[in-house]
Amino acid sequence: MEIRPILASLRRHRIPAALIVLEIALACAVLCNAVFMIGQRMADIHWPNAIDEQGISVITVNGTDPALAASDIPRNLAALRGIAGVTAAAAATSMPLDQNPALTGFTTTPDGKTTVNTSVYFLGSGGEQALGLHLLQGRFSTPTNTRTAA
Amino acid sequence: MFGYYLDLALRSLKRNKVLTTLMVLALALGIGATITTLAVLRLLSGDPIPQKSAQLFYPQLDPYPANQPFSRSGKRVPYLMSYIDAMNLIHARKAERQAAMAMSQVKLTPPSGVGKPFYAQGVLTTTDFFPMFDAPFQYGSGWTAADDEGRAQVAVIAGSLNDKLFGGANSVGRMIRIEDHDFRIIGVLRTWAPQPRFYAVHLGGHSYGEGDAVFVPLQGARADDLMPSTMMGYGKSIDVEHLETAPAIWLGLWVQLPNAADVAAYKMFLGNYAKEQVALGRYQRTDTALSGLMEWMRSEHVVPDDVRLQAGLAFGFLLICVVNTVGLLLAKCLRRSREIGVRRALGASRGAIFTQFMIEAAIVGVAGGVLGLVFAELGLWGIRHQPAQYASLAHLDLSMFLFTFVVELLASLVAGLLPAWRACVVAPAPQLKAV
Repeated sequence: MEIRPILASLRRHRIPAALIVLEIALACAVLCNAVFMIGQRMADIHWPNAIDEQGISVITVNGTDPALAASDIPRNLAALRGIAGVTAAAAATSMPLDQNPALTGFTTTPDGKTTVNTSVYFLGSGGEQALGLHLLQGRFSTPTNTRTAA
Repeated sequence: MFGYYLDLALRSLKRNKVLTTLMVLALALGIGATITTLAVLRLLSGDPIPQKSAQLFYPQLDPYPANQPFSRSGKRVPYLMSYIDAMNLIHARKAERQAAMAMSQVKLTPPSGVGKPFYAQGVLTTTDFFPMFDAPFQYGSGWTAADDEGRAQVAVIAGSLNDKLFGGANSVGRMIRIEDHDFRIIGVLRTWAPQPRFYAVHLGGHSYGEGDAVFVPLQGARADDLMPSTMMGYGKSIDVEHLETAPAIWLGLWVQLPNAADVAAYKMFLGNYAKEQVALGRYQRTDTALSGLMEWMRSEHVVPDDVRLQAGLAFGFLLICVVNTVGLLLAKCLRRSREIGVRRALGASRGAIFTQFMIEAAIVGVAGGVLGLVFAELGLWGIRHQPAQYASLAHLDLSMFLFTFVVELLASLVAGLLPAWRACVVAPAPQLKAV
């Protein structure tokens, strides 16, 4: 392939050639940045958060009378479990990576210095199954560990 | 002469319909994208209270213990205050006005028959809030310092809430049920929603969107166990029943300082207060901060970074479109070298040729501006349907409308510079010989 005539003709029309090069360069820059940003967003959306996200629906209940909560919650959970297709239902204070976390420091000794931020979730019985948690070590709490409201 | 050039320009544009359409389209797309993102950026980063923002300041103190700092890098001062510190600063009266505030999601029960209970955004604050932030009243007024001390159960509600519950009538004196207690309405605000909600940064709630629905005295609300949306503890345990004495920060404090001398004096006062607290054994750090309103918005990144990025990208896209238009205009000009040669031979000066092609570029600019506005409106329509806090506010106001045309004309004139120059340096002799 003869490249020299092509280059010679480009050299004769310098300005149009320069314009085209500039435009391609700018378009590449904008495109690369946009693709990078989109890639970052996608990576953020796919952060693993230890729960079976695909299989979970979250229902938020606000504003019930605190005096009736002790009877309302088991009744609501029983009703949810009765729906066809529901394998587990449990109460929880919030979900991982939610907007209002309960954050706390975490130390190995009572007077230790905090080096780790953790978010705390309080789960009702059956919470591990409902969230699809995988145990790495130790055990989940058993019914004897949990106390019910009087 | 201008009319003649206009005529020439229009004729040449009509002759090359495809090229003209491409140029107008390219510029319009670039302008549309730029104006859309700029409108959103301007909306979000505008001054929420221009007549007063230079006088409003946000003090910060650091009650955190040395072995459990608020920020591990040690550079950030806590962005909220504890109750004791906020009250100490307020009672010291070192600023013209000062108000402490917290936000709370409160359950409102409408008067019987008007509807079901619902949640609304509430602000727990002190008496100076309304005069300091120039909140406009439709009926009634705010409460007094005596109401603060006396834990009065009074409330100021927003106009939208008044419309919803009382049909927009003067509801001063009527009762509204907040959580489990009745509060007496003493004031109704006109529509008031500063964008961004600068007083709520870090207190919970959204920075943009509708205004807050109900405002209650801090002490009165706490007497009824209303809880702030955000609280951070620095002690072993926080007794939420006694937040006022617990080692927790949950209040934002704003002060009004009319001039620079007052600002300097208050900064010194803050520093002395912190040293005093260290001497008393309450604090372990003497770091303090005092930020002006706009500075505070900037340092807390209230405007989402995404919005700036989008504006930057759109501007890059506009650059591409301008370069594109330069190329297209150049192609169009060079095609007419013979016509230019004839005009020059007949006595047209270089300047005349330059003007002729600049006017062509300007016409493309005006046409592109109109189309660009259409694209910008389309873009803003798309943004209004995004699930973002500020979505409903994305509109083109008059100044952005005019700005569109200015930017479009500038872009097209810049694009036309190179082709026009190239056209006017065409030597007439070789062109005429070719005829």
